[in-house]
This record gives sequence, C-alpha cells and structure tokens, in this order.
Amino acid sequence: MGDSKTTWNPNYRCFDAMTTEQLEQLLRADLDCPEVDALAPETILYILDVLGRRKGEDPQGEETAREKLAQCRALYLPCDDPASLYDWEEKEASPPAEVPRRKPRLRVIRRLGLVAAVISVLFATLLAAQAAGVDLWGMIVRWSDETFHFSYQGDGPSSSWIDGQEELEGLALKEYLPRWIPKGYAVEEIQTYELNDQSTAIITFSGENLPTLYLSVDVYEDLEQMQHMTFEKDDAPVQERRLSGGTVYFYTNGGYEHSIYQCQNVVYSMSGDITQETAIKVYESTEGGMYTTTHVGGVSSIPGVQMYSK
Amino acid sequence: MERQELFETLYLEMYHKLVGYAARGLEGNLDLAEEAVQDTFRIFWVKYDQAAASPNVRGWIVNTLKGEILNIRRTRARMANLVAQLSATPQVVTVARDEHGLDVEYGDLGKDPDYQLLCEFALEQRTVKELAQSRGITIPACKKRLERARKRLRKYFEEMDGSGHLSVTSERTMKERGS
Repeated sequence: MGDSKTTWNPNYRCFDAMTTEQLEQLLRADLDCPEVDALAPETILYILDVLGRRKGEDPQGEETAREKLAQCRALYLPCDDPASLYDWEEKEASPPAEVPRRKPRLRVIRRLGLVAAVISVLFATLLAAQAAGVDLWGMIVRWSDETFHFSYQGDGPSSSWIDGQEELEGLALKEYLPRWIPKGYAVEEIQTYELNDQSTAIITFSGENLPTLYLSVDVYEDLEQMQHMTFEKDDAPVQERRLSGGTVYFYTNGGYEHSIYQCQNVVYSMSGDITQETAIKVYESTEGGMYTTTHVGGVSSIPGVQMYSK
Repeated sequence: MERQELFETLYLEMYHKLVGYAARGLEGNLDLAEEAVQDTFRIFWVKYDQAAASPNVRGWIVNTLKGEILNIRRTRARMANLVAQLSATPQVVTVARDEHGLDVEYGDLGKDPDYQLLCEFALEQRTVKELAQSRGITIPACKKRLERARKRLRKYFEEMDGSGHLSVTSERTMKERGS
C-alpha cells in the first residue's frame, strides 16, 4: 500500500514562508481551479500541516477526533452506498482509482500572482546574519558534524539533459546548471521564476524504476538576499564535504535526505534517494565545481545560509 | 495493516486537517464541513479495496473530500433553485399521476413534508445527519427521502405551466369534473 509520506519535495519550502492568508487563499482558489491546474493532494496536505503548526496543537484535539470517529461508525458507516450522500445525480462521484504521484502544481501560485510574494517573503523575513565585522562569505553557523574521507571517481560530464529544454531557453541561469545527472534520469518538469535580484529553476528528474530527484537552483544578484536563506533540518548531525567551489551540506529532515551546495552567489539544493557520492558528482559538474574534494572537519560554514533544527 | 486499524489511524490523523480544509471550501460552515469529512471516510470504508490499492491512500482521501465539497456546493445550489422556483409558483389543488402511477395530491406546498425537507436542506443549510436525527430516521433513509422529494417536487413544477394550471390533465381529474 502506497503512502504520500514516502515522498517529499523541496519545492514545498516556499509554502513555509507564505503568510497564513496566502495559504488560505491558495486552498480556496484550488477548489475553483480546473482539475488540470489543481494542487496535488500531497501539496494540500503539506499546506494544511503548515497551517496546523501555526495554529498550535489543540489539547482536546485527539479526544474530539475520537468522538467524531465513534459518530462516523455509528451514523455514517451503516450506509453502504458508494456514492456521496450529496450525489443525487446520475453517476456517483468517485475519486480516481489511483492517485499518481504528482509534482506540486505551482502553476496555481503563478495564476494567483503570488510568485514574487513567495520568493520575497521567503528571503525577506528570515533572520539576518550577524555580519558586523565578518565577511559575507565567512559567516559561520556552528553545529556538530562528522568527518569522513571521500575520493571522487566517475564519468565525465554530460550536459545533454539541458538540450531542448524550452523552459531554459534564454535564461541566464542556464549556465549555472549541473552538466551531469545520474544515469537513467530525464527531465520530468522544469519551473522557473525570475525576479529583479534572483532567478530560480526547480527541476524534477525521473527515471524508470528510479526514485524521483528534485534539484533547485537559485542565482542571486543581491548577495544580501541570499544570506536570508533558511533550511529546516531535524536533529541529525549535518555532514559536509568541501569542493573547490564551495561546501556541500548533507542533512535530513523528516526522514528524507537533502543536500545543499553553495558556490558564490548560487545555491543548489537536492532531494531524493541518491547517495552522497552521486550528489557530489552533480554539484561538481556545475560551473563552480572542479572534480576534486577534500577532507572536511571541524566547524563548518555555509556563508549566507542558516540551518535550524525543528 | 487491517482495515479497521488503517481506517482508525487515518481518521485520527487527518480528521482535523480535513475539516479545516472542507470548511474553507464551504464558506466556514463547520457542520457541513464535518459532514463532508464523515462522508469521505464513509466512502473510504465502502471503497476500501480500491483506496488501499492506491499508491497514495492519503491522496485518495483528499481527492474524495474535494469531490464531496463540490458535490455539496452543486447539490445545495440546485435544490435552492428548485425551492425558490416552487415558492414562486402559484399552487393549485389538483390531482395527477406520479412516476409510480399513483395518484398524488398536490396541495399547499408549505405543508408538504417533502417540500419542508428540501427547504430545510437547501435554505436552512442543515446537514443530512441533522435532518435524519430530527425525523428519527437513519442517514441512508434520509438521503433516499431527499432524492425522492427532489424528483417528486421537480415533477410537480414541470407539470405546472407557471400560471397555476396543470399542463397535463389526468384521467381522475376529468372524471371528477364529469368530463
């Protein structure tokens, strides 16, 4: 039996930064959207989780739910009609037999004109870095880490996956995209956003019998904006690997594996069931990576980026 | 996981979230929202095999709830229109045959129990559960009664041409008038 909890999409972090009113508006608008533009159920559940966390836990919540469950069993379950109680027309209203694993439908966000608000809220309201006397690239975030040794071996880069992608045509950030993606993967979807000081591409890769891979690339013109980035993590220690262009951070959140690579004014983030070596290879094929790695230890930094534990 | 166990687990996990979602789609009406969620889980129970075979059970439930919310909106709007049309139609005492071939006397609609049922449903925004409990019947029985009321009163309206005269003369009416 499948379960939406087994998948996670880094695109969801934009919802964390949206205001409650924006999220409410999104949910209401979704019910009036044509099905092709509707939010995926996973997205709806994620938004509901965000709203629920903000509202706070109801101490009576579980007790109430159990009372309603008892009512459901007593009053509703005896009706074995598969159609809705409110479906009085010819055919029964039934959901699809299978709900495909879908990407979050961010076209709804575009239609609502919230893209600019999402990005600006995401980065404009988070904690500012303590920059007094400290170089922007040298901002430090401290957490316990583990050290390890890594040696890179692998095939050369291939940028063929970028060829023919209409969504990338004419975009400056195209030059920052990784040239190499794991074997067997192909582009499933590309979404791009452009603001005055920032460009973003969110790319979904999929392959036959392969777990879905998500890559997000943010290119900043304004470095001050970049320093407001925040990524949520759980209590597991963050692992780091330094590349010549920057540092890769591996962390987990809610049981899912993530990585971030920051190279000057570009921040890459990936999510998916891939090894750290594979993630490193992707990052190394970007403009900032140079196919060498070094042993990493001690206190580490990700200039301009903060990580906090839930 | 067994059916009962999964049902309970998902219900307790998702109930409050789904009621909040439904309320947003039903203009904040918490009673309707609760009924939408209850019926969603009822459908999940009835269609358990189909839902359990889905790669995304929670997604299946969310999609079912979406359909439920849209059903509620659509059905209430249609019933409200029907009731409004019936209220605006002059009523006459006459006799006609309904689809079961039985003579049905249409009199003062205001006292007709089916009309009252539809009014409470469409205009007073009462849930099927409330209507059932107030009449001492089960929810499935109440649904059947609502469906029958709709059919019956729609037929009544169709047979009136808006002027208070029956558009189709029944045999019994003709006999009573000595025609």
